[in-house]
Amino acid sequence: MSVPTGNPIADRRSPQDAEGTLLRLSQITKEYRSDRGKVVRALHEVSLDVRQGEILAIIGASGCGKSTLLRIMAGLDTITSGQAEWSRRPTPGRDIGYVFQEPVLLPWRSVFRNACIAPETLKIPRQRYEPRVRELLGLVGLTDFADALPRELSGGMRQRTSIVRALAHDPMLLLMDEPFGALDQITREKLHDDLLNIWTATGKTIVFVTHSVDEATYLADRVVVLSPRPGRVRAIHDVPLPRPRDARTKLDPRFAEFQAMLRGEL
Amino acid sequence: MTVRTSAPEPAAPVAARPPAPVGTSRRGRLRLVVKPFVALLYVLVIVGVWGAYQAVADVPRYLLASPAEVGSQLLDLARTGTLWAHLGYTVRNIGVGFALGAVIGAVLGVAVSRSQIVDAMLSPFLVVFQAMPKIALAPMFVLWFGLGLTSQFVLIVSLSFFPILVGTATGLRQVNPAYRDLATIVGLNPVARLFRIDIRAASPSIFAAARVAAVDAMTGAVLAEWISSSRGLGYLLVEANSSYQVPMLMASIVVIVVVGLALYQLVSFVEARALQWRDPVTA
Repeated sequence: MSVPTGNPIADRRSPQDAEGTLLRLSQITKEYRSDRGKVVRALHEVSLDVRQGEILAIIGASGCGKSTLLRIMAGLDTITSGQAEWSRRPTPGRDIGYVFQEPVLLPWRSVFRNACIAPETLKIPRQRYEPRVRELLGLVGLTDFADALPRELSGGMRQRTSIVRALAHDPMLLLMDEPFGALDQITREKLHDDLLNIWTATGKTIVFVTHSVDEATYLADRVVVLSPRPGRVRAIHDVPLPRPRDARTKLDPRFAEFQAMLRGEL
Repeated sequence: MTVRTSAPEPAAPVAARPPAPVGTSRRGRLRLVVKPFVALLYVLVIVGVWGAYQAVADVPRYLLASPAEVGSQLLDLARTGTLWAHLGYTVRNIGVGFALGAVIGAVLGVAVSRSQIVDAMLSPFLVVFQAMPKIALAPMFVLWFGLGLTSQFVLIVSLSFFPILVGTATGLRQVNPAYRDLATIVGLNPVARLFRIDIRAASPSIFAAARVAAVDAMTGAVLAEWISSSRGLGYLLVEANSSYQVPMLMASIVVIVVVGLALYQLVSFVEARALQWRDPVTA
């Protein structure tokens, strides 16, 4: 599944060469006030590192604060106490790509124009990002739908559009909140491979939230297991599977072993 | 006000129909043919009943003119140019007044939806102002702003800004909260978010309000001319009324109704063009 060199979306940064820590979260606690005025603790003293160039999965039962954790990384939520240290602080709008649980497309914009919103906001010249966006749309099979409106698409196509949108401005960090949750199995597995291709080609740091043990195992370098109410880190595991990964990876006995171990912890 | 009640009718069947799936253009095309036909049929039936009643019941001339008389009166007014002068004046006032009212309403709508303080401060005033019949205020406007154009515009704006305000505020409050996260992620500042995302997302509600406001602006214009002008369709009404020229009175009413319908259709047309992304039926 390796992408040939010379791929137009390949980045200057070579993949997986930087081993440093991109983001260090120390003792992060997040509390919010519920509608009835009660203070709810969503995260309790969460500490973890996000390493440069890795794929990190955050897994846990619903209500364990995994989305909140991702939103904190994206700057969409503030922290109540604790510290978030970046080795290189991301510029809002430039360095982060975010895939929401729902596609959140603007219904008046075509697929292509939706995908272009981030580089357009950055005022990058069109000729510099449009070929890239077309390339990405091709990669997820949406070339023929570039001019379609969101209402003309299936749910899976909308979500694929939102993934392209998150990558369009070539962010260093891609954050994804259960991006494949609403998709059917076939589309999901295709997108898994697309994502791995993009990652191999660009060497981005990817953090994603999931409740699928299979997804976490197949995609990630490391898996963070959160336990619920309040969310805290139960364990952090290295995935003992070689890269590149493809259909055969799933036949590896270590694949099933690792999954079984994760299931035991959830 | 005849105009007010008859105006929303053309849109009713559209709104009642559930959104059709993409690609049922045959039905759409059929509707395009049928709709004007139905409208024409309506006019014919009304004119027919009116003419028949006029002939059979033998209503005195000073109470009700026949369709033929009204028609020839209209032709007369058109030929002498009287009609165009008054019509032009009124249409211009509606246009300017509506534009002013729309801008004021939109700005206030944004303020009310963005700031709880502004909302709390403005709401009581607005509720009282809206509950007050504007026709009762009209003499005060004349007193304060004189018999000229100013008081006419004040009346038009006072009628038309409110629906726009409510439509804008409601639409903005209903914008999908996830768009705010999207705006943060792509680095849009609040002003850019307002113009690039929120107003677009709120536009269905704003357009619905604009349809009402356009007709309100016409009511305001005619009312203002009725009270304080020597030009315009409202003035034509007064003149015809005070000199017992029933055909002219009725001809003015017909023109006003047509203007109201045209306005409503114009806004609907712009709306359908601007909101093509939204509803396959109106596209």
